[in-house]
Amino acid sequence: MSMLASRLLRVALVVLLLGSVFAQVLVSAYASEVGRRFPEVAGLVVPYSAAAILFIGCAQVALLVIWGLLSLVDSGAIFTHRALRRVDALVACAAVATVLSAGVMIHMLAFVPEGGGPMVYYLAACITGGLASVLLGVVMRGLLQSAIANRAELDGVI
Amino acid sequence: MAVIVELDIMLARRKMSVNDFANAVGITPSNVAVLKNGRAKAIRFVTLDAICRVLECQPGDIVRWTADPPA
Repeated sequence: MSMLASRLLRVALVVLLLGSVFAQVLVSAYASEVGRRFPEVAGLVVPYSAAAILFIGCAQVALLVIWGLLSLVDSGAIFTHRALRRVDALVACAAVATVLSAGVMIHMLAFVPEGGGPMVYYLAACITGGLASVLLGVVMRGLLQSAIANRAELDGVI
Repeated sequence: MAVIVELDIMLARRKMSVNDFANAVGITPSNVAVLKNGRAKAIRFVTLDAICRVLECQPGDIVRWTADPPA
């Protein structure tokens, strides 16, 4: 059952990865389209596209890290320090993605007059959601760490 | 550690090799070595049960406690 779940998850990860590459292409095309239609924001096309591509890049790195964690689970090596490093990378991805999107929204609020309105709520949701996922990652990392310690202690039991 | 595993004596008395003993108990020869060297942190009751059955002895015949020398 868990083997089946792991295989299905791998399929989902591949689909998500392909979808994210497509989204990276789409997002820059959309940004240049907006830049053509509204010349007053044309200067923002390149930096905002770069931020969006980087944001999706974070998600792609996270997908690859999850793939690696899945391999560790399959080979029975999840309770080792290698897993800890991967979880660190996952938390770092969440943190970078949060900082990126919050930074873009703050810039929008400050410098783009049309930005206003619901953007404040988006920003609040982004910061709390991002912070929550980073903290969740840190808590899960602590659980993994104690599980690794327990496993190491059990290895000394005959 | 104050708890000492004395497998050597019982193995010699039963004229058993480490490999035969490991097979009969169902643990790896390297774990037998860990037990003999006194590097084991703990021993499961199922392992102790199997050891006692194989060696036809009591736990006290293979595990001995001594007071730590004063530091």
